[in-house]
Amino acid sequence: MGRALFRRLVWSLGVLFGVSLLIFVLARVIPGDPARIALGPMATEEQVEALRRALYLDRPLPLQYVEFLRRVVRGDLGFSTYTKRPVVEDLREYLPATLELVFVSGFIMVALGLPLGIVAAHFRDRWPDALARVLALLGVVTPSFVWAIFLVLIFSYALGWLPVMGRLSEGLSPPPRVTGFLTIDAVLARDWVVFVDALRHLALPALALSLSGLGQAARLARTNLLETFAKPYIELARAYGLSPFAIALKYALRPAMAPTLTIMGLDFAAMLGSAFLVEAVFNWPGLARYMVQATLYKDLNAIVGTALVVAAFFLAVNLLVDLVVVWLNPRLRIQEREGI
Amino acid sequence: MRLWKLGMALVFIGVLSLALGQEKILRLDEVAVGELDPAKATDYADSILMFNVYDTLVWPDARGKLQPHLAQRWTVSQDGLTYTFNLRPGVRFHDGAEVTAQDVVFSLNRMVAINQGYAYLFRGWVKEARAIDRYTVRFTLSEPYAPFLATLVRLPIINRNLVLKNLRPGPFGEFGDYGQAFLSRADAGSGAYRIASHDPQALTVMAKYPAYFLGFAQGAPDLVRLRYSLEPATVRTLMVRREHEVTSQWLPPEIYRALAQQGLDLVTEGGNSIFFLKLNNKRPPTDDVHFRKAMALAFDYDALLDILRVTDRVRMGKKARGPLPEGFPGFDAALPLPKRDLAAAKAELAKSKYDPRSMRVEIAWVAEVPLEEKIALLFQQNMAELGIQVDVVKVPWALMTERATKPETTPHVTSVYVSATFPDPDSLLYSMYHSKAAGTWLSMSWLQDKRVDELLDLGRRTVDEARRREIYVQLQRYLVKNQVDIYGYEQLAVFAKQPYVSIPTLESPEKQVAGVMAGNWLFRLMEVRR
Repeated sequence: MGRALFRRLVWSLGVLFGVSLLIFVLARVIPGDPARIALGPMATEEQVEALRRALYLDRPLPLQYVEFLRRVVRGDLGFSTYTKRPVVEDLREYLPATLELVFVSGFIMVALGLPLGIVAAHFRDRWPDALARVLALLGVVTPSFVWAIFLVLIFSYALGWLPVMGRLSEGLSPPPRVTGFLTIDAVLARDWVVFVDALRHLALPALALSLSGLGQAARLARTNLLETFAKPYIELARAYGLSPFAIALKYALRPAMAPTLTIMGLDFAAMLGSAFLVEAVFNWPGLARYMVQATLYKDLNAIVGTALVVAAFFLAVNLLVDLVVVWLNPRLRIQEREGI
Repeated sequence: MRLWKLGMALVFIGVLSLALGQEKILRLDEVAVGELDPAKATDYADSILMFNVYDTLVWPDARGKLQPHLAQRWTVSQDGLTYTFNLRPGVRFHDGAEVTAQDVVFSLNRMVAINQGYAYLFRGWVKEARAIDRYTVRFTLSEPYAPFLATLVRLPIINRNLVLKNLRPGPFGEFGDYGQAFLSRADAGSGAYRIASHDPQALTVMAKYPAYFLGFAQGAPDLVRLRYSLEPATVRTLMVRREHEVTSQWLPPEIYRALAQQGLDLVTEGGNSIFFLKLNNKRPPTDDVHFRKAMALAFDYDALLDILRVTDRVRMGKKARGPLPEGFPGFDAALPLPKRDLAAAKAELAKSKYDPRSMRVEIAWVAEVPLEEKIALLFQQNMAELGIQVDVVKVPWALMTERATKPETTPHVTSVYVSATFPDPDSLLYSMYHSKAAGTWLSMSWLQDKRVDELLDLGRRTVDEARRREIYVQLQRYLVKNQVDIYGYEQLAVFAKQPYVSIPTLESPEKQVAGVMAGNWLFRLMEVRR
């Protein structure tokens, strides 16, 4: 298991290197001069040239990449021409906001998606199944920004129950920064007013972001459970007279969860990149929004920096999901142990 | 009975204390990113921050005439090379330090060294800035440059000592990073508002600086929350819930319309920007003055205003007489308003050396500005009535700037908005029409006309204000007479606001500051009566 983990970590580093190279080159072939865009339409050619030099854009591409790697090793991702600050500082500020949103969305996806799928499978072809399938389908086919606008219109505009934007109400001071997650920092500071307020602000964007993955999770859980229920060993368990609850919990759920979790892991990891529109609607000061603005602004250092973060998150989540799947599936454990 | 009286008294005290203690908050939005460092500021959001957090030596009045601000008076030498300013004593930065001549010198040197933002207005022109005494500062120019005084509205004065205390390692020798890291998140200004918190992507919070030397309107906001890049649906919801006071100018017209129907006010801001149909004066057939005049006479300016209609009372533009907006310094009010005259257009076309049936005209619009497509299609339709075949081409901005570098790649007609950066006719006219400025998106007319160059150079050398005005009037008439461009309309930026907010500079046209981007957004003059 340890050797397999080490193999995966080395492989992940290779992938990160490949991503950095690919994004580095792609960012430079997007039309438009980054220095010109950064300095605005009235800047002189002399100003633009000076910034090009500062960004190493006057050097050949391979040398630019070597310079980039040299800085990355020192933990320096350069400065952002969009925010005019070091990219590392921007990541430190914006990443926790998006991670908090993504984790809460992931929690909603699991907490509501799986039970919905299980209920649908249990009541196969009856009205709860039909209802669950319609809800799941709606979740999958409706883009998250449409959900975001619907939720704002219903819960903020019409009912006025939940806030429209931001992470915290005006007039409340954020707790001392420890993790950058407002909810966790509020708990650490025992500031329950801020904690509740942060949760209220999280509710709509997290729900909007989770609905697509939630629908997918419900559909997969239902399908995989039904497939498992059709297996001969379940028939055998029934023949032995085991209760339906015991069969579902002990023999069906665990094998059915392995493929479901793999796809849910991918959905969860993809949320980090796809949160942009939800962040835009709720004016959420997060990384996804920063990433899109940086791309539109042709902010080379920020593009590469954010791409690396998203890739690293994707790899970490996949690694974690693979470990959970191996734990769920004894056959995979044996294969890993024997190096098959 | 006693209990009832006690209850009433408590309610009264509660309401009174709430009223006395309630902060006046102004919430508005702009497009990210909010650049706080005044040496790097370029766009609208940056300018709002700059003019509220920092002060400049001079400031224009509603007629564009420069008035004393941090400087209480100034003199200009006969040769136009030396400008000496006497500072107003007793003006204090937010940390309590007094504004001195040393701060002015440091601010200029810092801006020139960093070489971003509006540094090009000073780099190459200012040979030396010197503090003569605590309150006197002298600028020596490398050659006469009459617009210099006006460019000073783009030189915010920063607190030298505070910046020097917050230097980080950087490329500027003893000045390290010149305080760039510090000034990207904090302020070192003397303006009416100081920075309470700043996230360039989401929100800047500004708090009133009570010791500001020019004071405040009675209902001026205590706290200003400038939000960045809100979605139109979010802005609409916030406005209806009264959780937002003023919108940006970047919303779709239908949102303004909807907000107006819901009882919110619409105000407009003009005097700074013109929409041009730039005509390539070097490429056939637009190199022919009669062909250009025919196109200008065939264009339907009234239909264009219909495109810009938001409500029956509010439009996003008005007719432009020439290359300068109304009220802008040097503006010639005697120029005629353009109007469509198809018969005159046909007569001009008959005088042209080109046969419209044998050639096609290309009109390019900027892909990022969808409104321009409607205008380009209107142009195509209007020209068809003259028999001129027009191809409408969508060009991304990055590509447009590349196409502008050569006359043969510059489209025959290009739709662009041009805004002034400082309140002087040179700001708009030199970069668009001088031969030396050719090859940029601003100079897509490719004029290269000796007479125009002479007038523009003379305008820069002439110190006498009345004489300068004559020069620019003469120049505008020459440009209009030769139909160098089609002057589409003067842009009016539309904003929606709550009825309880007053923005005097926008609500009374006679108080609008012309020629300074975001110059009307001085929070100290605004009032929140809620």
